[in-house]
Amino acid sequence: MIIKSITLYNFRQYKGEHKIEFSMDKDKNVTVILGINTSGKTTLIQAFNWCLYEKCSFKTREVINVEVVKALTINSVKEVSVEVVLIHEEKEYIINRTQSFTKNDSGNVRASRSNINVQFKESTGGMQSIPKLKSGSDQDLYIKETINKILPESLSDYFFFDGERISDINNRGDVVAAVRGLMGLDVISSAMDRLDPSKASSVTSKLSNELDIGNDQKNIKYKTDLEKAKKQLETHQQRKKTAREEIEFFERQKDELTALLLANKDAKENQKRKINLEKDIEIISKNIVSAENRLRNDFSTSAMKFFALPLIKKALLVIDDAKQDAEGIPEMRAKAIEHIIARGYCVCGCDLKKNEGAKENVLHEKSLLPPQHMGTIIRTYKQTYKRFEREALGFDAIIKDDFSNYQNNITLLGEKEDALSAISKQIKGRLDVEKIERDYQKNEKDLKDKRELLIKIMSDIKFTESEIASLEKKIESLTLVSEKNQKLTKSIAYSRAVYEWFKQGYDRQEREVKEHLLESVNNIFEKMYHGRRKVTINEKYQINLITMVGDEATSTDESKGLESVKNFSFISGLVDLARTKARTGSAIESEESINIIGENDELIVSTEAYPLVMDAPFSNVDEIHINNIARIIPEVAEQVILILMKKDWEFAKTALENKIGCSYYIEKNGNSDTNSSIRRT
Amino acid sequence: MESNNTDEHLINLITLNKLKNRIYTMERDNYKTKKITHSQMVDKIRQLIERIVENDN
Amino acid sequence: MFEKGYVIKGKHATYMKFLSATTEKLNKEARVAAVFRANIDIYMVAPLIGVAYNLIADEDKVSEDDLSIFAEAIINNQENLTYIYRLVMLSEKSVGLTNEEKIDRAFKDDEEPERLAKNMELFHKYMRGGVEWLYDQFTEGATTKDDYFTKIQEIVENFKLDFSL
Repeated sequence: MIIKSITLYNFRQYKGEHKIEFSMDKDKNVTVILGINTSGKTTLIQAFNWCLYEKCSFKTREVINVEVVKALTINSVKEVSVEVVLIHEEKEYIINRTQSFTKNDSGNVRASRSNINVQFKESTGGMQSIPKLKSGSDQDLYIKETINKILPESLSDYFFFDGERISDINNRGDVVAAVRGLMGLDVISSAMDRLDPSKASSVTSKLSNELDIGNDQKNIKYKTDLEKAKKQLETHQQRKKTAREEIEFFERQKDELTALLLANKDAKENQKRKINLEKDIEIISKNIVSAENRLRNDFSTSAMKFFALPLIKKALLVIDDAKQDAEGIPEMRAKAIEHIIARGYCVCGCDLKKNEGAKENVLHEKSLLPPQHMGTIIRTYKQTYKRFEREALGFDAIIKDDFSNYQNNITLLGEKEDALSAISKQIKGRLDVEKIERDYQKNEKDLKDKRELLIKIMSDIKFTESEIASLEKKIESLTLVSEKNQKLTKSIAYSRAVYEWFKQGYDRQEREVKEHLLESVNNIFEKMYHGRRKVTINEKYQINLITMVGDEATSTDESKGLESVKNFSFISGLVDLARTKARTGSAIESEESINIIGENDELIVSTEAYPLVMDAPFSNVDEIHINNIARIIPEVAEQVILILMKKDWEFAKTALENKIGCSYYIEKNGNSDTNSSIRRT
Repeated sequence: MESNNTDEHLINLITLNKLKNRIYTMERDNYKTKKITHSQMVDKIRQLIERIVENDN
Repeated sequence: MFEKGYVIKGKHATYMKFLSATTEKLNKEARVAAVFRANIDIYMVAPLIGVAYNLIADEDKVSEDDLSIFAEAIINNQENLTYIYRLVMLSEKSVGLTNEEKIDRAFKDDEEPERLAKNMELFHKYMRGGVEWLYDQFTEGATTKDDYFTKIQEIVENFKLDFSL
């Protein structure tokens, strides 16, 4: 951008119209405006600022020339205006700001709002006004936009600067921003912000967030199936858990039952024993009955003879004692004897008829025979009783024997019954062993079943897990395949690619800017200043002076003059940089198609060359340096506009003589502070 | 971040360059006026990209 | 003699029932000693015991219990009963008889109905005495079958000792 002209009308001490046309020559690119102090040098910068940005460091009513204001009559209007004509991107812009002042009835001067108009002339020749918006909103919106496109306000301080204020130029916080802005890096930085994947609000992030499996039918089905399968898996896991618990339970049962069985093992045997005992008892009982019967029978049968014994003893004594023991002829019967008598002769042959004595004896014999003679009977009885005696022998032994047998059986029975009782007692407290065994078997079966079930469940789980895996895989591949995602993925790819490219470009540019700036500044500094000093630039583009002492660099305090030179160098460096960049980038811009991509796919930033408008640039600079600075300035800037005091000019004149395109002189009219003129020289 | 390799096959270089320039232009235009907010710009760029992707197909 | 059945009356009938297995046969629940096979066995032994221990007893008029020993049983054992009778008559010493007289009584009184009846009366007295003795023996310290049967052996042993058999 270069400035063509500035026209002041009633602006501060410039009463009436004053126009400065700046040199637009490429070689003689310096315009010098000389003036003595307080003549209005500073005013020119102020004029620029006021016109473009409505920026002023003075009070509103001081915009308009004092004399003009004074001359205001009631209800009359006077205007103040500044018009800047500049050329930007091959277009000529006419920027005019006007403000009216009125004196009202009360005699008070009122200022209107300043009104700005911007027109531009196309290279074709036609003039266009930048439209104003309807009232209500910011009417001058488009105008402001345009002006900011041409020269952003933030950069204006660098290119329109006040020498008096040069000292704090470099220390301001927005140097970074300014440099970035100058280099066009701000734009890139913004672009990056929009695309940065690490930022949640970026395009990339937003696109990524929307990357899911979408709403396609198949996806829905897979999703549903997956949900089902996951629920199924949960169910299986629960079943597995339950089955495991049940198995544990059955195993514990098994242990308990086994213990019971073991404890009751003897119960089974006891049962057997009991049965055996019962059998034995039955037999023995029968035996006892037999023994009883035998004893009874033997007793009953032979008791008589036994109990007769004492009587027999006595009886035998009685029998023996009795004389009537004469014995008849054994076996002789009375009838036999009667027969003998009847036959008449005896056994011996004696004739009994004749022998009366013999007959008497035979008859006597008959009396001895039963039933006549007891002797016989007695004798028989004696024998019988003796027989009884004999037969009674051994009775007690038999009884003893029988009884012993009986007794043994009784004893045995007792034993068996005791044993039975004991066993019964043992058995009684115990559980039904058979039942335990049944329970045990059942438990074994249950345990087996559960184990088999668990195996099945595990395989179900495995199956479901693989189902889930397969579904997830399908969904995943679907994610890639789904059209929407494809597009999203592609969009993300683009977004990322642009981001990366911008980032690389940005970093590179920034590096280059720093390097270049450093180099420029040092070059310029070196040229401006002889001495063993150097400058360094930090991240914030702040310049520090360092002195080389030997090979070591130490930072040094700076004198004001040095400060000025330093800052000067910085500005010059900036301007130079801008110009360099502008030259390399200028070819690539046309209104519609901007190309920021270089031959090697590198990011090209383009920037504009800016004029350097300096007010009292040498006020704090040593004479020596003035010369140096003066020489450099035209090299670095496209267009240089110097506003300075005559005395300062003397030193710079030599260096700049050949560069001067035009010169002006600001004079006070009649030594008035309120009335100056600019005269071309 | 994915390696560039996975992305490469998705990107048309010519389209990409167009995109770069377009985004830059949008940003540059907005830079001076600051009319459009960050999220608005994000949406614009996103739409731009998605349109491009649409057209690519 | 010993051609007819005989009825025991009073307590002796009860005693006899206690001692007889027949009772048990007829009534399994009967709490009896049942140490003798049949009533007749008691009938035969009792007199001998009565004489041995010199125990007699009159017929009990208090109790109305009775027990029949059937004719069949008596006739079947007629021979032994006769021996027992004569034995009793021979060895019994209540009446101060000489041995001759005893023999006569034992053998000759068969023909004399009056005497025979008197003898039979005596015989039965001893019999009752013997029954009482048996009853006492079998109930002394005995309550169970086992006890009763043990008593059999005991009685035999003791009898043996008592009479130095």
